[in-house]
Amino acid sequence: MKSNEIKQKILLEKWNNELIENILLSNKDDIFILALKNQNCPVDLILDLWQAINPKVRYLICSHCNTPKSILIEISENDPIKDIREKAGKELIKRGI
Amino acid sequence: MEEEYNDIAKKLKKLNSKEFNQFIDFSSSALSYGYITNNTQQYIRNIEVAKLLNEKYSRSGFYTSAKNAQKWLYQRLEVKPDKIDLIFNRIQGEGGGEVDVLRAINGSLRGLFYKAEYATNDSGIITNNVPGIDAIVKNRFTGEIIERIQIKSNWSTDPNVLKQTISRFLKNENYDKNIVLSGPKELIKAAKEMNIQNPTYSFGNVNTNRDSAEKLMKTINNGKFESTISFSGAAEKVGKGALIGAAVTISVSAISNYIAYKNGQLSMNDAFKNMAIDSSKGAIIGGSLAGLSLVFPPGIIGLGIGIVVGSSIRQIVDIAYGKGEYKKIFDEINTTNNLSLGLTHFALTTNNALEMQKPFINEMIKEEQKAIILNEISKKTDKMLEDKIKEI
Repeated sequence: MKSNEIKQKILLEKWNNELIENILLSNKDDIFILALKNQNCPVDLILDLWQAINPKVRYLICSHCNTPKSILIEISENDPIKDIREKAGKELIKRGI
Repeated sequence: MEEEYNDIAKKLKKLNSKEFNQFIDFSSSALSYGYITNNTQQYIRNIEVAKLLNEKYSRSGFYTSAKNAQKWLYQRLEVKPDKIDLIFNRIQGEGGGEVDVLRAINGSLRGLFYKAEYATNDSGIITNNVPGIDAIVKNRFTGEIIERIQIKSNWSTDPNVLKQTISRFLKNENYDKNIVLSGPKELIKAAKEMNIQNPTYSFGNVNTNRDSAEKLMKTINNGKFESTISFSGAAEKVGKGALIGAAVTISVSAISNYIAYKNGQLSMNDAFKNMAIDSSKGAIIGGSLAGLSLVFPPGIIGLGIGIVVGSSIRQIVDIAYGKGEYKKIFDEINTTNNLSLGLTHFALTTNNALEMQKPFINEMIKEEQKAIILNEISKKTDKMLEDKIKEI
């Protein structure tokens, strides 16, 4: 799938396994960011992006409502960037954890 | 089975003690060789899979290290324990399946003239943007591309899943009838039933793919999914093989092969090769754990061949994985004859050799760490240069 097609499908929220696989295989930060800005971004994609190289992607993971608690805990404890660790910590507090 | 053992025992009785020691040297070397080559091959293969996945998913970061991959798997299993197929799709479909097909092509006779490579984009990067193919086969001498291959690595026998895979292959916008469809035999059979005109390449079956996916998952789970060769990892594999081959089990096949060799029915090379193949198939450490294995000695049948079943074998095999206490086990075995002593000595010597390697391994680990640091520094310098160039 070409980048533009992937982006269009994200905007149209055509979420399925094939789209998730294509997002990951695109290996492009701008596509990851676009997907994570969507409130309905599935947890399956989050499970594959929470260790992304780009800090912006990881920051968006922290803000996303579908991010599992266990991942927020992991990020809050081990992310190499302090701001991201703090963001994950705040999200955990928000969720009452 | 008992008859077979008795028959072998009778034949072994004809060997004098010198010949017996020769047999032990011979068979233990062959078994070690088989185990070591198979396991180092497996080790290298897993590294290739990790490297491929790390390249394909480099921005996702989850295969950048064995630890990250382990964390990725842990979270996946924690949050979505029912979605194993998605994990298999990632590690087998995008990784192991492709690596195995390329290794098979490059390792075959055909590989002397042709070379299989992953399909890359114009920048030489492995991505999914290469239209409809996963690999190419080139003439080694002219560089001409002679085949373009789409690799499928199904692990389900469900006919609907197989049909869906073929439909996706046909509906790909970059499909053309010359692309070779590679897949497990069940998929190729289904493709032929659907009258697909493309050339096909049958590789393995759905069970071998599932088995591979499960093993890869286990490797990741154990934190051993490394994308670089570590000296410690390789040495560890060799050490394990030496212990297993030397001290643990001598299979029925090994004895039969040795006797055939002694009787002039087999050449030394063939006997050695047969034993090595036997051990590399996992006959020692695999399924045979539940059954019978022959362990030298002590004397159940005639000259001191012991048949050890179940837990005893497992304990000894555990030695090879660093869990057991081999000295204790050997102390428990009645080591009164030369054969026993010789074998025990061999095992102890092998273990001592492994112990001696350890300081060296530590040095190599330090060197590896230095290389990683240098690599990081180099990356930072590259980034700085890149930024400076942008400023110009």
